[in-house]
Amino acid sequence: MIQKYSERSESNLLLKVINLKTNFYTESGVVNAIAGINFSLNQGDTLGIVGESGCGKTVTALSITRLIKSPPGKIESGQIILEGVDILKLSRREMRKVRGKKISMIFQEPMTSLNPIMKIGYQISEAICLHQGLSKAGALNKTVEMLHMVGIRAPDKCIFNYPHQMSGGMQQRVMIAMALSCNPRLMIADEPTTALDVTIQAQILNLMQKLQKKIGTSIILVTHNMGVVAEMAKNVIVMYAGRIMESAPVEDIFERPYHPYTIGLMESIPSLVSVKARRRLRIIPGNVPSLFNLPTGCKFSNRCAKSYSKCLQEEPPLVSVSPSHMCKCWLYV
Amino acid sequence: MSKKNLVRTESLFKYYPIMKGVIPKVVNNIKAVVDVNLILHQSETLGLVGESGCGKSTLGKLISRLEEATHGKVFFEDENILEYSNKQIRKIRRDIQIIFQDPYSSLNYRQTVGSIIEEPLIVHFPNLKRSERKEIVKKLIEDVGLRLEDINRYPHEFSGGQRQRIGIARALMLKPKLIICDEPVSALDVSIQAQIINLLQELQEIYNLTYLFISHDLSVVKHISQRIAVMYVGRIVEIAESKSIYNQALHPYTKALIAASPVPNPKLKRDYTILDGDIPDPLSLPDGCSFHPRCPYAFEKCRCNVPELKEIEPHHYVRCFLFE
Repeated sequence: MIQKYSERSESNLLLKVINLKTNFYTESGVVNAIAGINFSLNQGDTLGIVGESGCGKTVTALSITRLIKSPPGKIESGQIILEGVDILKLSRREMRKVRGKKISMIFQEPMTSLNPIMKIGYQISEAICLHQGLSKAGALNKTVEMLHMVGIRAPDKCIFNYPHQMSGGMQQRVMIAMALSCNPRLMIADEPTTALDVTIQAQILNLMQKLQKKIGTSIILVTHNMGVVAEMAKNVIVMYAGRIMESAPVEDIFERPYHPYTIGLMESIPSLVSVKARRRLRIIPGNVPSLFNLPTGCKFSNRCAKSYSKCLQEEPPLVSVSPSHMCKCWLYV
Repeated sequence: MSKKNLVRTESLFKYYPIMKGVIPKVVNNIKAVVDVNLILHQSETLGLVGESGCGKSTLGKLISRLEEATHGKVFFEDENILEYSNKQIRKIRRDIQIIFQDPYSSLNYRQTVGSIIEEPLIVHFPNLKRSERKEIVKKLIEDVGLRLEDINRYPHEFSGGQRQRIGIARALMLKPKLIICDEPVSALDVSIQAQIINLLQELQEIYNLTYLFISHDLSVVKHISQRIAVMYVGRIVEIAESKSIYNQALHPYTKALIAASPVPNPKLKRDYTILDGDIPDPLSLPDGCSFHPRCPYAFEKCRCNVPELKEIEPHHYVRCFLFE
């Protein structure tokens, strides 16, 4: 039985990340994949983490679930407080109880995330048995219920399928069923629709929204697609080179972006809607930097049209530019 | 200004046979491209859009003769290039070039950038002197936004966007008339996508190129193309001018595709019903119109017959019984 979450009388806060730092120790040197980020998420909300390759968004998702492969990765410092408990301080055994039950994750390519030699039904019920202590039969019943909830036709037959017998869209639905089967407080979706066709993407996003309303799960959605963020997220953080450059509620960030990188990203996107004649896109010059070779000072300074001497010397702090809108840029300090 | 037809396909088909049995027999066909009649005007960009398995990449390969058509004709400058001899095909390879999706696998990792870009010249113009070749390479390197020093480096030393620039330089070497761009920006980050899109547009003006721009991303296609052709499971279902595609799309599938494309505007509440179901298995296509099982407007005729592609308004073609 899926139960609706009960609203707590005190704070609505589900997750608070404080000064998180994750490094990777490679042969070529240390990479500061996440260089000290802070954000929070309220119950029932969706947070969009947006950015390009190497910005640290996937590492953030993996850090929260403590799935960073160690070595070479290491969560250096910081706190990840989930429902009042700092999960970075939990033992591996305790964390295994949290993963799958309180926090679950959907990965980008469903084909490589599902076990190819295990039938779907068994994969999902395995998690349910582990976390909810149901019998095999009970877990299988719950599995059929979940598959039905994610819109799979003939779920009682589907449980006997292998992943390769299903389309990409169906595999992702299975992943979502698996992720939601234990009624998690938080679901982290890392580019869940990037590998899918557009019409299937729309189905999956719509499904995630419906299920969120039904079960009350909070979602962290990692993506590079601004359109997906606009549709799904309540709040947005924009990452670049392991740092949060801007964070705001979704309407604010699209209506009035502050950081030159955010503005550059918005202007780089061709518009489906506009009827104006085709003009050139406004581009951000240069390339996404290698994390081995970041500029001193502000990490965006070497590509920024508005950078000046201070930007090259010192990294700006994250400051408030309007209520709930933060920006990491010397222009606003 | 009269629009000259650079390319015209006539009843183009591509079937991939499925063989079974110890003595192999054809038991079924994957109908990748079905009865495509497409025209590309000189100097235009025609966008070809659709989802997995619609046949858009295959169509691009048929036109460039990287794949051989099962049936039909491809007229390039009014000559059917499918009937060309091997010698004649070599000439076509100068006029029709391709840029591929994956900047990592489309470049030979054992060749320097200079060598990759120079190779087409060596093959097609063996009488050119080395110094003349170097001059042409230098100019092109700069045109695509790379630096002279990059000539001696290897592909793995470059980012995805830079590698795509190398691929573009290679395609431009022989001064082609037509470039088939097969998802050239899909594998790139958003900010780099924009750079490459701008570059392609600039080069089109400088070199008077015609593009067949294949992509699954409707926003990109709309931005760069004058006209858009929409494909579904091997057939063209709509052709329209890109400026009118958002508001005046006619085919239910095109409308679904537009509705499903996420728009970076949180205030825009999309008014649509999500398209149900999956893209059909190419080995067992539905009877009649391939879209009818998912179409909210399907009626009896759609289940039994395949509609024809008809010009409903000037320059606007639709394949749907709703408009007959």
